[in-house]
Amino acid sequence: MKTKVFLGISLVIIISFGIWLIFPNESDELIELDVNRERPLTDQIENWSLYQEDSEITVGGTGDCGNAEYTEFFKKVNSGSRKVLLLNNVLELVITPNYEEITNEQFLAWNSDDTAICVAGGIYPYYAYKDKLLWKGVCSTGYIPPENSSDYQRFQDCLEAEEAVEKYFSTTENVPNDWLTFESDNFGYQISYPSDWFLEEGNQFDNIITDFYLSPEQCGENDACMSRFVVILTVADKGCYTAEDCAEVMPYSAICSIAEEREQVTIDQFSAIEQYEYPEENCGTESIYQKVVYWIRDNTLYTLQGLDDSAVDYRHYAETFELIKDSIDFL
Amino acid sequence: MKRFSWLVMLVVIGIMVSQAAVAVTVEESTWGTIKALYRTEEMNCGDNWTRQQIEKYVHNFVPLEEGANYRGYPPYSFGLSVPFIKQVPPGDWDNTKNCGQACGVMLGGYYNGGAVADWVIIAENRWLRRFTGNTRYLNDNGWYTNFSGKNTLGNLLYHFHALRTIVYYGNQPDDIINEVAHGRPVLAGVRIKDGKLVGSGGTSHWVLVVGWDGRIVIHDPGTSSGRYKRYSIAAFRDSWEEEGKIYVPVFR
Repeated sequence: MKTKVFLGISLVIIISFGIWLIFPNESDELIELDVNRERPLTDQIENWSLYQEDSEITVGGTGDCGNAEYTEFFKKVNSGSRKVLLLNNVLELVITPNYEEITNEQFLAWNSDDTAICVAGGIYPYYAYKDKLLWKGVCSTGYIPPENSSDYQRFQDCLEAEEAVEKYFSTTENVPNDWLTFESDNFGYQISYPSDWFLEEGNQFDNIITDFYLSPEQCGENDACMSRFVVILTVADKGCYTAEDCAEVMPYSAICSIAEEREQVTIDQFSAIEQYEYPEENCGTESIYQKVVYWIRDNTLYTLQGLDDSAVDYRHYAETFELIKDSIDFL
Repeated sequence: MKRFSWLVMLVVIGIMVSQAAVAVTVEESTWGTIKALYRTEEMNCGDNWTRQQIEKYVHNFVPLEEGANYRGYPPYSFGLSVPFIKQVPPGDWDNTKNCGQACGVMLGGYYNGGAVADWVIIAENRWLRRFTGNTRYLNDNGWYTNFSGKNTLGNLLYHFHALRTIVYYGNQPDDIINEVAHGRPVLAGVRIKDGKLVGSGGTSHWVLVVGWDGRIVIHDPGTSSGRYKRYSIAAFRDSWEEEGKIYVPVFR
């Protein structure tokens, strides 16, 4: 009996060894594939050799509402070379030639131009290199698959990939070389702005120090000319509860804040906000759109506001606004 | 015999008069809808439709094809007069996550006569920020919404718009249409690619089912031309199945 058991075990060991001898590479290949998959997502984004030609894919997001000029351009792009990388096996990154040497600012501006791109769920402009355009898909237009559905993991993978792309490009220096830099020794920060814009000293209010106004045209004493961006500093003392409250005592923001229902938070909670974006539109009787970004540093509130008046929408400068925002550096 | 003829004639005349009365009622109520739609469009600024364009959308429901087999579906075509808003603005098409919020604005307009404008989407997002504590809702492009976890969309509809919902999974598109036939617009999870419903690929998206004319009629906030868009049953089902056949009738 013992001999039979011994023979049986030996047979199993010999067969297993034989199988390992015959198919030794299969497990190696699997390991290699896993290594590829585990390569950091950020390393893959600008590794152009990973992008594969795909004639089925379309970029642009024009639907049937883009204007003729853009539609013509998108047709050209979609009939030429399109190489695709599925980042994290789900998020589409596409590269196409930069046929008309479009600048990055022009390229990204299409995203906020309703006559260029006007549908959700497309593959959109993301970054313009000198020789190529990078387009990026999206994970969702707002819907999250239910947690118990098979789609949920795919969605999570996509979010991970999207975060990697955003992180990767947020560390890339986007500010053009010819921009001017303003450095505030008093308040410890610097900011860059286009060389053909004008910087004006502001006024001083109670606990607020208006540092300067930025505008594409020189305003001087001309009241009709409104600054497009304002950098404001204030000391976040006990009188300042929420970001909205702080905004209320600042120029141009009060109109929108008056009608707001606000919940008060403590100064500690407020100080915990590192960066906070606050859009406002169509408040009060006048059409005003503004976008405000707040930072808290060393108990000081910094804000950058993009403003409009009835004539000019700040969104015309949306890309510039984002670049100025990115350029702010706390010394 | 003569008396009988008179009787028949009277009945016929009676029927004709009642039909005319019904027609007048329908016309008046439809024109009320048209005016309501027109007002909401005016509020949207920059997308001012003419009366003819609006009439075309409200009236242009194709009669069901005679003899076609739509088993389980209503034997008539209809469209709810739900006002439409696209999900951009606010934000940009490449980053927008406001499809659920835009559907909420349409539903608020339909049930409560609420304003149908992009600033309401921003107000909804502010409410969502307070409800969830997630500051990402304060971005112009909003943030994701659904009916599981914190039930963000369900809570938004209940607390912000005073509307109730029931979440269903499974069944067939005719179940959706029969809900809509009872005057309840239905939120449906679908896949969208370049502003069109797709059966594979694409991204997750909320649309509002608002009618039926042999095809399924939706308000799709994911495209500027998303008002009363029609999809065949098969095209809708393929896209809806990709998202697990979730559908949510909304009522007051």
